[in-house]
Amino acid sequence: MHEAPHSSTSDFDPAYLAAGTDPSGHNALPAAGGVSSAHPPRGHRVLLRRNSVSAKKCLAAFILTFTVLLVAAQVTHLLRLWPAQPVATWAVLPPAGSDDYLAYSLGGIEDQMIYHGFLGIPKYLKRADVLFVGNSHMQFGWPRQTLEPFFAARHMHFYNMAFGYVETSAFPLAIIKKYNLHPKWIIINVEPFFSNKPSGMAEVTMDDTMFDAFKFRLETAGSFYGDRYLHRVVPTLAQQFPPGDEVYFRSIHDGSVWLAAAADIHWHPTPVTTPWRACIPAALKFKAAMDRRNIRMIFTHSPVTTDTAARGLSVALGGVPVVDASSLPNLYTFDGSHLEHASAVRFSQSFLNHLAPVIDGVK
Amino acid sequence: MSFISWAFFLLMLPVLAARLTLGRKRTEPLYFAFIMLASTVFVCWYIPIYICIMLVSIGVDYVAARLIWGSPANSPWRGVYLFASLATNLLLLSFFKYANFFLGPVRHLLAIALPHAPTIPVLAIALPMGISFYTFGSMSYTIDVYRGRMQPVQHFGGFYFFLTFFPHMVAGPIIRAEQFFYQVWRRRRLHLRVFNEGAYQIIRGLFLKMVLADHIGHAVEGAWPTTAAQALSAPSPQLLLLAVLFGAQIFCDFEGYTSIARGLAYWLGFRFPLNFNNPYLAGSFSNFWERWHITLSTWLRDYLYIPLGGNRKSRVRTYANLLVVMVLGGLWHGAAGTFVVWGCVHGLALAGERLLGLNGKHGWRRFVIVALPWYLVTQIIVLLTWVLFRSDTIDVATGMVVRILHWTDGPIVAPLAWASLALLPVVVMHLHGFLVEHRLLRPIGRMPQAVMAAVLLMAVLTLYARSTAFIYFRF
Repeated sequence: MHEAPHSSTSDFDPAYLAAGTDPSGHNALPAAGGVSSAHPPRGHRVLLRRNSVSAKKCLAAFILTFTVLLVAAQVTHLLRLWPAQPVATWAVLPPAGSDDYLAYSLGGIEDQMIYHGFLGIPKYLKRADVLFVGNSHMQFGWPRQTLEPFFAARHMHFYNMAFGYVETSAFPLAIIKKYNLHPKWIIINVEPFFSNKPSGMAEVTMDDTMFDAFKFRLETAGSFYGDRYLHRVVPTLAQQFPPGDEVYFRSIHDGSVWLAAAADIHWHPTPVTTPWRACIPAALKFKAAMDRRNIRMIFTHSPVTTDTAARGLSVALGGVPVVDASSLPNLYTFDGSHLEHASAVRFSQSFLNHLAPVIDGVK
Repeated sequence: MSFISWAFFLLMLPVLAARLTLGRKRTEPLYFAFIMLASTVFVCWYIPIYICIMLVSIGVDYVAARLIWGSPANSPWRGVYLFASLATNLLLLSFFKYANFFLGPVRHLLAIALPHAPTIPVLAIALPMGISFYTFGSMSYTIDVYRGRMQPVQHFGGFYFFLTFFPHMVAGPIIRAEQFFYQVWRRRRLHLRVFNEGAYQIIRGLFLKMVLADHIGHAVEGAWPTTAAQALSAPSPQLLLLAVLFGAQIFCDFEGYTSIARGLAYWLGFRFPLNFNNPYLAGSFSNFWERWHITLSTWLRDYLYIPLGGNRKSRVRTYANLLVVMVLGGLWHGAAGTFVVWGCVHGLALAGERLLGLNGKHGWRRFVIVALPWYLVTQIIVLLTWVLFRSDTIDVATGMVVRILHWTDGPIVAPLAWASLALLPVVVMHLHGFLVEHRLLRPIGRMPQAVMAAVLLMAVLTLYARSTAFIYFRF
């Protein structure tokens, strides 16, 4: 095979002009294959002298050009000629001093953080008297603002262990077993929740090692903070595809969600009925596991679903208490599915009012 | 560990600091030790225990090379030691890469012959990072020692340093020992020009990967048919654009990686060979393989094609050698029928081209009236074989090719249309290469290169897409 000529000067390495030969003399490079020999032929040396622009001038040209482009980008950004910047740049971070960690940014790392026990989370899981489990509706529908005073008044600790990706019972059950949790109560967002198969994200999380989880967290957090600070200096055009996603943090000590950025749709949902009969075997298995640990179950649901699944499974499991606060009017979601904060506060307060007799009646 | 990751960025900070401080003549042993440590971290980042696999390969080849060199020239033991080295590397590669591929037909046959016997389970094996690349680099070392082209490395650490040197670890270029070791002994000055050149290569690679390849990749991923039925029902213009876009994506992805690798190696005081040379300017299939993945094609030429006889036996033997080499080259890319067929098509194309006398520039192709159509034939077939490369199954690939050839008009989805904007830099790059090769334009000077680096860096920061994994990582 003959050699095609090179098309750029990038193959010339000035350091090679000072290259020595190897002591043995055997390790000379072959002439073919796109690789030049240990001693560049004379023509290369001559070409380099003719083309020898000062390296300092080249570096200066690079810096000058980049600076001009950067200033132009900033000026055009100030003139609002750029599209909206990525969510990371305008996400509202939790207040300084809070114990919130980045849980979701273009993908969730909360599963890894909780399952693999980063940041001392297992300590708080173990001390929790009440566990909230379910999907992302539970993450946003039961805020700390209402839960904390309610449980503090009863000298109880709670932990919001709900997960996104339409999580099922298999994953929280795995966590309960892994950390040998024994809360007094477990409040379940039945939509319908029960399944022996975890979500895809949870499956990956459980297959990963702690080192894999660490790497995932490093890259996700790096991308978030990298985007945030980079794009306040250099606007971006491309991050609109795909469109901006939500960003939220979670508390280490109680799992509560801090929504840093999200869509702003303000939409009143029409509750949907979710199929539940096929979940009975998984629900029975879950209940058996709870009974072995003396954990009492309470069913509930968010306003985006009807109470059909919760009540049907309650009967199938022999009468699990159902706390239903979804009849409140004028509840709104921020994205069509998850309650806005104001609606979540009202909804969860109503929920706790209905919960109090159940919890206070059995202590 | 990917070059486009925060972990790699954090790793490079101390490595660059070491280059600036320890990377001087008096402290070079410390510098090499530091690079070895960084390379070990790089290798262990994926699955830590897999360093053991690499150590097996390194250990066996180090010892084998020393034994080969120490044996008399006519001793049969030289062949035994070489066989042990090659067998170890090929067994490792075969197990991790091809176990399930070869077990598949065995499983199928057993199911027919012994329907009640328990089935052989599918092995859930994670492929060690870079195994296809470092085993080839390692085998070339023992073969070159056997052939007397080079002496074996005296110290185990030196050989370890060569194979684990992280810029080329994961996706090449495939560096041969004789291309690397002489560089260890030469002086390694801290030139600003070397920094500039390395920075340009890295920025260029980031642009190719993060701006072009990733944007195209997202669009292609969303539109590529996953079943034969989808392929046969999609509009022909869309499928053709998909093939073109994938051709651009794989080029930008792999050339981007190589460019970053070369730039990093430059900074650390080592020089890697070119791996791509405007492959879509190739006027023939043989010229394509002189421009595409050059280090692999030259490796296959030197260690497989020539030992099989090359073109020095009969014509039929030459064609057979080409076919065998390209089928094995296809298999190197992955354990799937699509890669085997891809290699087979390239092998047949090389053989057919040779039969027609179109492989050399001084044959029929010296006439423009022949060269131009053959250029088009070459590029069209290369384009269609990329369909095989990308598709999950041969059925899907066949469906796509059939649909393209039996042209049926239809719309192109918007993401693909937008992604085709990324073709423009690839076209400009190749056009520039064409003009320089034919001496119609001077190669880009250092000052314009510096300005272009600034523009490319700005483009990376403003246009980068969410990163996808490097395509060649899975090989």
